[in-house]
Amino acid sequence: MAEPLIRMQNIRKSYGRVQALVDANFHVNEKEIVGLLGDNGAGKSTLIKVLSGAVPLTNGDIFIRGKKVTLRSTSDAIAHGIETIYQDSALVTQLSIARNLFLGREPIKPPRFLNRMDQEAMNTVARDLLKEVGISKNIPPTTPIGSLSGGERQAVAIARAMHFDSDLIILDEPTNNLGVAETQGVLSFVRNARDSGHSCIFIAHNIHHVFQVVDRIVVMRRGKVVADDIDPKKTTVSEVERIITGMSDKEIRDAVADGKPAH
Amino acid sequence: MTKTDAAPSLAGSASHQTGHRIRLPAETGAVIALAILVAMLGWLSPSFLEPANLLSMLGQAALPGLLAIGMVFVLAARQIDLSAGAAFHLSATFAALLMVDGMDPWPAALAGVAAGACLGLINGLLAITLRLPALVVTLGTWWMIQGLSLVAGKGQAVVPPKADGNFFAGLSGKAFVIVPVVAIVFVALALVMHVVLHRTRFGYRVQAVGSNPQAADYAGIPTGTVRLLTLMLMGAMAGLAGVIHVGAHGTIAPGDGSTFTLLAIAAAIIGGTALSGGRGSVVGAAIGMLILQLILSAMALFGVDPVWNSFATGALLVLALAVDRLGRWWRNRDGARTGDNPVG
Repeated sequence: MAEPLIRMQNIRKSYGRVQALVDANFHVNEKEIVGLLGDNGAGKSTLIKVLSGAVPLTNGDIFIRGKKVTLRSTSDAIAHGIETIYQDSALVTQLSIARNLFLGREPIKPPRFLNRMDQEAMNTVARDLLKEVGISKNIPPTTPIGSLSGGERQAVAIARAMHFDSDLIILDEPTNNLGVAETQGVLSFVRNARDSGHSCIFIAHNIHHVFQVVDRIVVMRRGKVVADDIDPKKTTVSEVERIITGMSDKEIRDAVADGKPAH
Repeated sequence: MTKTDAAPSLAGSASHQTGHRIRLPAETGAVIALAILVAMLGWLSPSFLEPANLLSMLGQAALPGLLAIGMVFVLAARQIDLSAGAAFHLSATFAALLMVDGMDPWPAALAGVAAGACLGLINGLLAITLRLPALVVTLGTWWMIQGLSLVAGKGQAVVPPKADGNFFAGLSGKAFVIVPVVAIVFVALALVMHVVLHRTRFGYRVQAVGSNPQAADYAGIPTGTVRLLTLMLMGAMAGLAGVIHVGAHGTIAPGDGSTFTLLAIAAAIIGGTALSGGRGSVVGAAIGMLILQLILSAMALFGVDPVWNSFATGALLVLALAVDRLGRWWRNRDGARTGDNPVG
């Protein structure tokens, strides 16, 4: 375990004159759930987009198991075993569960040149996967995503990432807009994912959700990683909040007091 | 935390009545409309129901119908092609001019189809490299292609010599005495392309790109290439319709096919293809084109002046759009009642 699964070194990303990432250093170990926290505009999303190939980096290096890689597109990242689940853009609502599970990697029936999809194989795998992620109700895999609940959609997206032997699953705000029960469901999927050998990066605004599930917390502020080894078992939520805002207790109290009349 | 623990927490989060209810295919509305229309016209004028008349109607629907098939793919990918009718005309003119120059009709026809595909490729390249909506790009290329047609044909009908009758006799002929050959080509291609849209990886990616381009992109689908291919397919279908027109009518005149783009879009929407992308039915579009042709020929049957045809085509397109929109409201209302997430 000398070399982590993912190591991002001195990552710099600028949009024109705006510096979204300033020499950010970040790593994820094998079978580890990392919580990525930070205020709005701290650079979390940019860092994730760089790692998932959606946005090219300006400067810096990415290593996977010690090997330097170049991620030019999302398909490059997927080929390297990095799956990203974006909060609103993970699934195609008009297509069925089975088709969404195989989005971009549809199996083809022989003879290949006819380009026919193997729908039976897709439906069989989908049925098994739905059971595996805990949707035990009898939902046919041909159901369109549009008629599933938010939690079930997240489950399908996570199931897709787990099925395709990805090493790292990035979850961008997976508990947004979910009810309490559904949130617990998603958190348990994340634990399952780790137990079956996947690493995860978990981004959420709700620090309490992060505390419930991650092994290690990384905090970003103004495009930099300001803390990358917070143990959620030995740290309190308010301590982490202090690191996120970069303010002392007294400063937070003052800010809150200042803010009150405005509400 | 075991896997079974997750199940109850998700249970009851959404009701799945939609899964058990019978889902009507997208073409249902079009089929019902076609049946009512045929019954009504047959009642008003029994000679209308003679097989020869119905089959010749199918023959009339064939050429704009080929464009409608391509348009389904374009619309399903959340694109639109306004230049399809112009591409039809330029491909036909190109093929006819090659024949005038002494080229054998069959290779000339092939060149015409290729020319159509090239026009589609240009549309696609412009839309993707300039990151412009296909609506804007094809609005411009529509006029460019139409202009080129006029220049190439010198503003007159191009009449290829009929030295080799094989090509012309074949396409203008009738199989089994009454079935127009163009109708057979149309029906066969509609069935093949229906399978392509619903059973192949390409067709499925077209729908994914049209439904949620961002998700398709994140899943590693080359969305630009998919869009490009749909526009190329549209061009090729327009080119095919163009050369068949030359073969069946023996000429291509200015103004031929000027209503084809609108007819194709209207037929696709009547047949259950969503203007907002993600959903399409080739068979539905074929039925939609039959409905349009039936209405247009019914107008002729009842002595309505043909100058009203343009108005009627436009009105049918607006009607189809209104029905499409009302259908979506209806579905959303339905979704809210069964507790489904209306976001989709």
